[in-house]
Amino acid sequence: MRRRIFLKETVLGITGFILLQACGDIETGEYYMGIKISITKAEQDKLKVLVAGIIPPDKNKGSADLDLHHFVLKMVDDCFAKPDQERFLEGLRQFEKEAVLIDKQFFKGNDFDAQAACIKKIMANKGVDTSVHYFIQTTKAFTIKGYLQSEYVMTTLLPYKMTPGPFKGCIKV
Amino acid sequence: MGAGIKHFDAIVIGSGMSGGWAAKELTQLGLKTLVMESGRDVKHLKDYPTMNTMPWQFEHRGTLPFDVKNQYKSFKNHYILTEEHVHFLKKDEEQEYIEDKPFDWLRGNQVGGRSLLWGRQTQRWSDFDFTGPARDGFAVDWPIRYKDIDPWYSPLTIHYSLFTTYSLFLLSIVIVIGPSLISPTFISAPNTPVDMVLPRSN
Repeated sequence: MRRRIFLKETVLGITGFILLQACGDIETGEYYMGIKISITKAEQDKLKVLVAGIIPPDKNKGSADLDLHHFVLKMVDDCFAKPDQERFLEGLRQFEKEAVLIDKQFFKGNDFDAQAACIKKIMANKGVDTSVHYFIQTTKAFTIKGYLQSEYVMTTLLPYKMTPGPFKGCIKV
Repeated sequence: MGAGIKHFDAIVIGSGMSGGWAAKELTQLGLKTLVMESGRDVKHLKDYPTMNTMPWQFEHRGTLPFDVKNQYKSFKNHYILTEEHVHFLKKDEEQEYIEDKPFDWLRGNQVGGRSLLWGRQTQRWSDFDFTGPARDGFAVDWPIRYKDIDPWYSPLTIHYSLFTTYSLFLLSIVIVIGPSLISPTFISAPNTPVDMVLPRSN
């Protein structure tokens, strides 16, 4: 009987371990479950910095607060054709190099203004690989889409109004 | 005439907007009518899986995953092809579509057909629209004019509870004037200055 219990526990243990491994980065507890494109943890962090700079937080939440880099990754992972995914990843890798060339502190993610200036420079530069522009534009588009259609924006920041800007017919004379 | 063979005065193929209405007219005229529909039955409310889903609850905010989209190539990225509506659309593998000449054939696959896919809202055409191709010399002239379709517009609008140009007009009145009717200034005490801009009864 003990042998049976031992076997059962062992099998459960191993299964659990394998499952935990599959659940992504245990150290940081980040969500990277089920992603099919080959992107490393470091690259995802770089993407996170870029996404955070696209809508920085002011008195309202920014894109980093809503974890929109997950959404960008999910869209690329699920909704893109394979060549586009590869172009996106290639753009991400090239972008890392280009950004550090212009601004060494870019991926520290401290100065949003410097980040914006850096991205503008890269976008204006016709010499960089076209995949870089593709990567930045895709990331920007999905960040904005994810932000505008997030629960936070649609219920707190810009809640739906049946009558936007109602007409006030009665005025004081 | 063998036993078990049924005879019909009319057979309607497809239960969409045209077929559904044709069947209604035929049966109302007393004809024994058979309606043939290849799609599934749709139970009211029960079969509307995305009815109460908020935009942020869609995993891809409406965009279909690549592999799912590939099953609906005949839709050619039409705007209806989204996570919200995909359960009412017909996959290519269910029925092949051989497109001889360019024609976007978007297919619904249920009782009611594509009539379930547009939001009960339609603008009534005028004679100006029907005469458009002939007047401006494009495409093919409409074989009918507004006067031909006029007797049908109102009954259809009422039967389908359509939201039409007229409803839009009514709604805009409600939206524009409504809030001011119930605003606090309107129902405030008669000695406020507001009273002065209102017509007096005496």
